[in-house]
Amino acid sequence: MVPESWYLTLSAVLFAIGVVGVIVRRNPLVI
Amino acid sequence: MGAVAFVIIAGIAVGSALGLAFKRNAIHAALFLVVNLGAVAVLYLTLGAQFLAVAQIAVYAGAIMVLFLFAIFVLIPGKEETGPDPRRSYRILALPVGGALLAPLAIVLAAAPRGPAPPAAAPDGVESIARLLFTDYLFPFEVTSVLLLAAMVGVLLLSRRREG
Repeated sequence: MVPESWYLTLSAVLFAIGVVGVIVRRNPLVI
Repeated sequence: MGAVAFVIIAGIAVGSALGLAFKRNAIHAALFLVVNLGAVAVLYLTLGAQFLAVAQIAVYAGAIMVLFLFAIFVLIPGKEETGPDPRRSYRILALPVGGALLAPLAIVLAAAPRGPAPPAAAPDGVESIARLLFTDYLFPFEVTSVLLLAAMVGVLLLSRRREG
C-alpha cells in the first residue's frame, strides 16, 4: 500500500508546476 | 508493487505537467494535458475512487479537452508564443497567490498519517453517490442544472448574430 502522504506530495508538486505554468505562459487559453 | 506503480504513474503525471507548462506550442501542451488527466484518473483508481476516475476521463479528458483543442485550432492554429508579454505585471501575482493556496496543502501534508492510504469509503461508491445525489443533495443538484441552463441560454444570446 502507498502512504497517503505520497499522494499529497504529488498533488503539491503538480500544483506548483501549475503555478509556474501560469507565470511563464502568455497564452490565456493555455493558462 | 503498489509503490512501483505509483512512482511510474506519478512520473508520467509530473512529466506531462512539465510538458504542459513549458511546451510553446499550444496544441502540444493540450495533448500533454490529456496525458496528465489520464494519469490522475489512474491515481484515483488506485485510491478506489472508480466514479471519480471515470468522470475524470469522460468529462475532462473527453469533453472538455475536445472543446479546448477545438478552441485552440480555431483561435491559434500552430502559433507559438512570441513577442513582448502585455500582462507581465499581473502574472507576478501568481507566485504569492499560488504560495497562499499551497500553504494549506503543506499543512495537511505535515499532519498526514505516515501509514498506507485507506481504501475507498464505501464498497459500492457509485451507488452511494447516486443515492445521495437524488435524496439528500437533490436541491443543489437541481440548482446546478438550472445554472447550466442559464449558461446555455447566455451563450446562445451572446453568439447570436446581430440583426439589422
